[in-house]
Amino acid sequence: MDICNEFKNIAGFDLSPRQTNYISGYIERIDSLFYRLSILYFSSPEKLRMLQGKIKNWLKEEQIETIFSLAGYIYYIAEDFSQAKKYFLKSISRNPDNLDNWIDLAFALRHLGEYKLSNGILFNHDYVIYYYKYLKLNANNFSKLKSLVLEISEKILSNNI
Amino acid sequence: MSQLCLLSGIAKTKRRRFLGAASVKPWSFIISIMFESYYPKKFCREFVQIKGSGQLVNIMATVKEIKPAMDDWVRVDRYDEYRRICKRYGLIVRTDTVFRMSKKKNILKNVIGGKRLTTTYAFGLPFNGSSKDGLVHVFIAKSKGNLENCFRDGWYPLIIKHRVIDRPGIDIFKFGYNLGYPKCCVGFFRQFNNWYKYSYLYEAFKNTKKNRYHYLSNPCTRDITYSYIYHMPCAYNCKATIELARKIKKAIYAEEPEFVEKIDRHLKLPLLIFYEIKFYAFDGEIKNGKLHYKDVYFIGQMSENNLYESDLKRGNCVFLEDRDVVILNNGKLIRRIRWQRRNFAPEIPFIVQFN
Repeated sequence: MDICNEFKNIAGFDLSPRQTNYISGYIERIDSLFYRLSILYFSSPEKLRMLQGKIKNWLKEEQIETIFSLAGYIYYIAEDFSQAKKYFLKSISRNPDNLDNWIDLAFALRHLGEYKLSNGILFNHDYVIYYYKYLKLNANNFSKLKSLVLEISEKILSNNI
Repeated sequence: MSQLCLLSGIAKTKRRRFLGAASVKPWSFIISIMFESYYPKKFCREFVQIKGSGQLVNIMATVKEIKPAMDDWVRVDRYDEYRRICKRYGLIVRTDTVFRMSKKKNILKNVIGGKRLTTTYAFGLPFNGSSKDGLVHVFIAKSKGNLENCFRDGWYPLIIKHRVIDRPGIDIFKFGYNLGYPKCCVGFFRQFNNWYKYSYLYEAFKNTKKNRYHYLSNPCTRDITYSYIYHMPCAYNCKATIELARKIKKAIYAEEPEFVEKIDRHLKLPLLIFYEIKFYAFDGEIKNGKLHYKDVYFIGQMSENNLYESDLKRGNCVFLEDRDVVILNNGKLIRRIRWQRRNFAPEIPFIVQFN
């Protein structure tokens, strides 16, 4: 059984392919997966636990943005924000143009107490995305990403850019 | 609802303009002092001096540790003073972002996701010393743990770079628990806080047995000082809500008995409710399904929602016919407000009095 079918059998709704929310697209978040999983957590917590049990296998099978984001959401809802951060970073690596990935990461960081970093992303997401791509960062460069975000925040504050 | 209707302080200032000159009729002397700012004799008076009384009960309940934590909005230039007052009452403070308020019409045209905003239209800035104006969103609590929980789930939707940035749904749902709201009400919120489908206040009305509307679960005056609760109850006789309100009432009575009397009086006024941010309070009473009144107050949010105050002031009786609102003056028709279907923020008018 493929991941999409397994997911649907447990959650009761489709795991749609991740949709990119480009900054230049001037649209809202289309992907409702996070919201639907949040509702599921309250209505059928056992289903969310089942998804949590499955996600490790799915991550071995597929290394794509959709599965990374799904993993991030499941861990976020389970309040394992370190794991959520890890998978949101991987989603970003796969698709840095997707603003949703950055917002998800920012809120995971807020829960981890990395408030300056979280705000740095939320308030300067356009610069962060631009320089992340320009510098060719990836999920393994978290410390570089952190320095980048904080530097951008400081420069914005001092009106240098 | 305005995100579990947690926003309180912001809209208050705007709203008061529509309450001020309400009573010029000599027979309504008592009502003329309704809905004004309340200045406690002592307990928490300092808060009112710097930011009005909109969240006074909430603050008192947090000082008394009946509520685990709360959030508030304070003018940037008064923040230091606010923090000092908090310290005096044993409260710790955590700041979040700065809100620069805007008008709905400016937002709808130019902001991605602007149509989803319901009660607060604000541009966001980091609170880092560079902002000289605006309102800083703060969280206060007696314990550090409660404060942190509240803060982490407590981001409020803001416009950043022409785009509404909102927190994940799970944080919105959990935030109610951090604020000490009853579980049943948080669950009800999860189900019915959908401005595309439901009129939340009406859903709570439907969820209440007829004529069991308890004044301690009246949420309609919560943004204007005179309520014990700051959440939207699941029903107007919700036991958990009434219990919470009773605790708060008792604690306030020990400090400011006059305030309790005033709150109770406001909570028992009959109301005409259209939806979450459009409703009116009356100096009057309901008889045989008709509300007979001497005076009326708009106590909803934002001036653009106050569409009927002048018509209501010309009348002395209001009632519902199907979903139309009919206003009469001594039996003569003043206006029939015809019900209209709306795709966002549906209005289902109803009349209610909490006793």
